[in-house]
Amino acid sequence: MSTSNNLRHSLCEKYGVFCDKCQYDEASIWEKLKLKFHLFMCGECRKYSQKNTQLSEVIKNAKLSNLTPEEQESFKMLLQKQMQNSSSKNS
Amino acid sequence: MPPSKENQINPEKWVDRYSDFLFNYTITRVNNRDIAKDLISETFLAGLKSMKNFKGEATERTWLVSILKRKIIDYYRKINSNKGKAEVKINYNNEGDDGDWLEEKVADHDDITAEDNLMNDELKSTIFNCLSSLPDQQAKVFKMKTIDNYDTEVICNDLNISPSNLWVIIHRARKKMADCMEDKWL
Repeated sequence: MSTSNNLRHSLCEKYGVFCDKCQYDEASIWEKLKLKFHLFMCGECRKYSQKNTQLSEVIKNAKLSNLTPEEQESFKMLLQKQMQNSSSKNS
Repeated sequence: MPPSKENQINPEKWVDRYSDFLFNYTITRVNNRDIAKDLISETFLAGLKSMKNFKGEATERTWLVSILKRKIIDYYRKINSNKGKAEVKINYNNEGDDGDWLEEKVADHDDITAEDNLMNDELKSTIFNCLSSLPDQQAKVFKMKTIDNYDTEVICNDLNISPSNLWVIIHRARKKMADCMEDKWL
């Protein structure tokens, strides 16, 4: 029983990755086909696939825009400089 | 009473932990990347100066957001008072600037209502909360791939991981993100 559960789990991990690749449009045709066939048989993966697609949608709707690593670095430098200044004043 | 462990202040981690959240919070309100960055710099500096006032009653992020809110209000006031001075000089064709009126500076260009904005704030807040519950590497890879839209190859080179390794990390991150956001958003 537990062996079949393990097998199922590792299969779902594999198809989960195919489903993730689809979210970024990076799955090959072969991977898409295999995923479609698997989803037809596996309720667990169908559930994940649905949630996964919704996750992509929700994140897209949030219109997030992050700072570039350079911008983050300049914040870090600013903070570091300020901390050094205040610690040298205190000492 | 000393602050609990989660509510301790740690400026060295501010940029990694909160800068993306604060940036997203600000950019929806000021619609200008450079101004948003300035306001965040001011917030961090003001935070450093008033660190001793941090009582640990709120989380570090809530505390920084409260400082940022004041900075944004100051900014609105400033552009609002400039508006009076420049009443006759409105240049609607100036690219990158949307006119001199407060409402135009603040308004969202996609005709988003205040209610939508509130929803969007809440959504962003949930996304960043969920991201902060992921292990650092998963959060980093997920952000690079999903929010910054970097190519797989670029991330692999940058972090020195194989593509199959990347997809396993992404899968773990997406599973946790979906579970974390399920109750309210999925």
